[in-house]
Amino acid sequence: MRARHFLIAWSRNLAANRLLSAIAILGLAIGLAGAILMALIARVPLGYNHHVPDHDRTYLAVSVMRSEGMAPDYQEASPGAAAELLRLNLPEVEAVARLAEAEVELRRGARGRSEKIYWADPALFDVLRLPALHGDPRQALARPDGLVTTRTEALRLFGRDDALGETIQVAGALMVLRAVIADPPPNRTDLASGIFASGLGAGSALAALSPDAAGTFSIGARTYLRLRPGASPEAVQARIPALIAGLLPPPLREAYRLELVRIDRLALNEGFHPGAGQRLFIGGLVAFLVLFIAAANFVNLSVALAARRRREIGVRKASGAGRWQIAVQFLGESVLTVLVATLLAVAASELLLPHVNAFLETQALFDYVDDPSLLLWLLLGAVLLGLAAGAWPAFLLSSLPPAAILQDRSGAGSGGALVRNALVTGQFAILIGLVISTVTVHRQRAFATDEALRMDVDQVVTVAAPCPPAFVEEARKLPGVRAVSCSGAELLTGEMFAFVDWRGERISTDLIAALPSTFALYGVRPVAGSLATLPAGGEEIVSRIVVNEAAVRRFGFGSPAAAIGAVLPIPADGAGPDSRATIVAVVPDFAFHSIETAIEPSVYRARPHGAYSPGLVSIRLAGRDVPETLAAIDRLWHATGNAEPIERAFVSEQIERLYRSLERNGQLFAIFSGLAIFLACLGLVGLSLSTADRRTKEIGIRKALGASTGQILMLLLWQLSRPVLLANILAWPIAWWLMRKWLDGFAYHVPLQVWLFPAAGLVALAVALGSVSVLAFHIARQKPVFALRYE
Amino acid sequence: MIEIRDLSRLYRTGDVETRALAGISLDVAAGEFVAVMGPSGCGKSSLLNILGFLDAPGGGTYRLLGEEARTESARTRLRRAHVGFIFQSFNLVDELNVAENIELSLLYRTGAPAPRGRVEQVMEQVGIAHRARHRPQSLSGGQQQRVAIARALVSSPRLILADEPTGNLDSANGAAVMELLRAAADAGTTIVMVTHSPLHAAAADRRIALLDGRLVGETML
Repeated sequence: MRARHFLIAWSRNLAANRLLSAIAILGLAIGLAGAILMALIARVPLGYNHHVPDHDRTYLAVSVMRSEGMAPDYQEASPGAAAELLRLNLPEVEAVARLAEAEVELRRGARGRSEKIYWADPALFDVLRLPALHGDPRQALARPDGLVTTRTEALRLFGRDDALGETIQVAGALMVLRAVIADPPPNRTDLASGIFASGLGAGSALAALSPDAAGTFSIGARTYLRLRPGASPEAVQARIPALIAGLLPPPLREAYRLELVRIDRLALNEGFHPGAGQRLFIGGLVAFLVLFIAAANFVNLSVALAARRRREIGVRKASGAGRWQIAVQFLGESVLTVLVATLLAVAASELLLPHVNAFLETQALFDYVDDPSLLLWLLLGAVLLGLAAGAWPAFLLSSLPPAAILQDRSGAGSGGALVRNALVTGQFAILIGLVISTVTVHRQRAFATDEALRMDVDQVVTVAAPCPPAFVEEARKLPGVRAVSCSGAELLTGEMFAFVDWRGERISTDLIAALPSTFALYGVRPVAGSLATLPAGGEEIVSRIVVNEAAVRRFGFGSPAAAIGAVLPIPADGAGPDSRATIVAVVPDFAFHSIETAIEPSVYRARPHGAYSPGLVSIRLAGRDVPETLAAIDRLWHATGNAEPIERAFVSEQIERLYRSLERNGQLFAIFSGLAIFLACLGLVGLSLSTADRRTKEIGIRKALGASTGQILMLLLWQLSRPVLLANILAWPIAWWLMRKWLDGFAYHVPLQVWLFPAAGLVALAVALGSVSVLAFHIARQKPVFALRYE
Repeated sequence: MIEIRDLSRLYRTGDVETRALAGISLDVAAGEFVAVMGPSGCGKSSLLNILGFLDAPGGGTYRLLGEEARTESARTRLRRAHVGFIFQSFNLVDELNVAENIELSLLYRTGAPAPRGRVEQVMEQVGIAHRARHRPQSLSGGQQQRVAIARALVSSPRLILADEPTGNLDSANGAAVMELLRAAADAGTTIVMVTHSPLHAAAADRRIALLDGRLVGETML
């Protein structure tokens, strides 16, 4: 009886206050949907490889190439001989195994096709102790004909998953299925294939990994290792360079590093996925803040709605309800209401997830059928949120004195104004912070893709080619083409540097080969000297060079003008003698690589046509008939005797790809800011609606005493502005500190502008005033008689 | 049943002190029907709040069935076990229908559960059974007060406190309410009723008068 009675009381009260209840539930559902989606996205990298037992002491040895002035290059593969060295020399290593990926022919009966498989060391499933469905994977690869597959692959290859003993031709050799392992959860594994053939097999790529010839070095295997419990990965890491030094040619010993990466941290590794960790953190934080806004709305509206039930509370107390029982009733109602909102949020998340995945290029899944624990977590989260959101209203209402309520003496009516205002202030502080962040991230992105380039990349197409003379000559004559020039590929990649000996110092300098016309093509003008004296067709022995402003500073010239005429020793590329070259012009710093790294001192040399390899042909289009011109360029490419397909790209697109991470941050902020603004509006409208009837009497008295509509409007709006103004004081320093820190991650960034802060405050104020002014006007306009009679 | 000794109550609002009750002593026997009279502000409602354990005495003692409540939880326990209320403004919950409003009073009772059909029984008793599924707003004042009486009766309390139960009713409805209370008293329930109406007070076994928080007169009938 009691439960039924409480359900009736809950549902009738929701129905009686339809609009406000809908606002509270809808707002919470939106905030929850955002949090659920974010959690689902976060679950992928955070739960990466968690299906592997002992994933917290299992590592993948990855290759890192460092070269000065560039972001280190990460590869998941490692030298084939490293595994054995690690196993023999490091007592902390419990097990090691390698995988080599290969594209081989799988033939069963008449059907054969080429597929990607792994050749695996026999110990593989001793390192990765993946759960077995059939057979013993740890023994399965010990024989040269051993084969292990995942359940899905067994079904695909053999038609059933318990197909132990079935055979298949792998790269020409007959292999026997000896074990079947469970499918790894989708998107949470670094393994690209579910077929593992014994590395001892005849066609094994592992067996073929011969020692490198002297002076060369290759990485062809994935090396997994598991450390003993309690072993220090740092200590192991510290001993690796000495162990593998013998594998490396001497010039590489400084630059190459074999790094252990825990397999459950691969997805957030800064080297493989730059910015992923930061994005996840920002996304999580922002989703949490938006959920806070929604929850604050919910709490405020719950209190406002519950205040309308004072009589009910009084009657319940008179009927013998204790404080605790009233509190439990309201907590229970809060949990129920949050559950309704959660249900809506789950439905919304399911609908939105494919779009969110497409937009953010993530692979999050809402697979609660396969993983019912997800629902359990959701339920637990909803109950906790319900309790947290209901705690304050329940406390407030259960402490109302029954005697006062029941005898119609107003008392304790405006309880909790302080908490309510604090919640509104908190919401607006978050809103202001989000607006500041959104604008700053957006400005930085615009800066990176436009201003920071310091050159004009619109309508410039590049073709990867070592300046073939016929193609270049003919391309110049195409009607839609304005200019054509040649450079080395390093113009885009920046991946060519040398040491220049200068006044007793070895200075790391980017060496870029480019025809003089390249500068004009990209709209780069010298800040000192002249480009006119450069040999238009390049020169075999470099005698005249152009440097950038970074070089002027690094080489210690007082000014760009002072650098003109100086003679630098320029190392030759490849064979040939070093040359001494005179600086004839200084250009501004410009670069095509990410602004996260600073622009290096650069020397531009004009080389003859044949010397650009790998090379880049830059073509500036006139901007009209672009598709036709591109088609003409493609035809010309083949017509001038190039057999391989043309590799052409717009420079602007390449630059956009470079800043995709920045773009994602921007979009993330924009979406959540929009949500925050919407939710804050919703909350304010709800809150002012719920207090309107209480205010009506006060306004009636004020009007009876002679206040005009305008004066009352001002009063209402001023009372509303106060928490927003206070929110600025809270939001500004935090937003300033966070954005400062974020911008400092870039070598070049926009200044954090002061006007942004008051502007964001104004936006918040406008949002607040806009959402309640209609209502305020309506209340303020009412005739005093009506207002006074209202109660 | 009720023993009050030297009961007092002060209210403080800011710097202003109001003496609502000052040194009241009173005994009410089980099954007695007492009417409390007096002008506005004489302390009638304060007395009723203390009798109903909605408020704590400032000084003196109040015992119900020999028990004194010193803590909030003890007051809740005694209120839950023994007391029913009837208010001038009915205090029915708008969102619940008649039967549910009456049922509300059974939710928090401890001890033996009310027999099945108890709600229907009291609705018959007060003549409101034909309105069981209606919401309070759709009832007349007299009907609403009958619902409130049914709510007070349903849990068979030892003590019913009525605060001007006829104050918002016309004379015909007022008379009907008084009949219901008289019947309850005859069935053995102790009733303390605050009223302004000498006519309705006359239905009680005993009348006491309050003025400025003091007991000034007592009439046994």
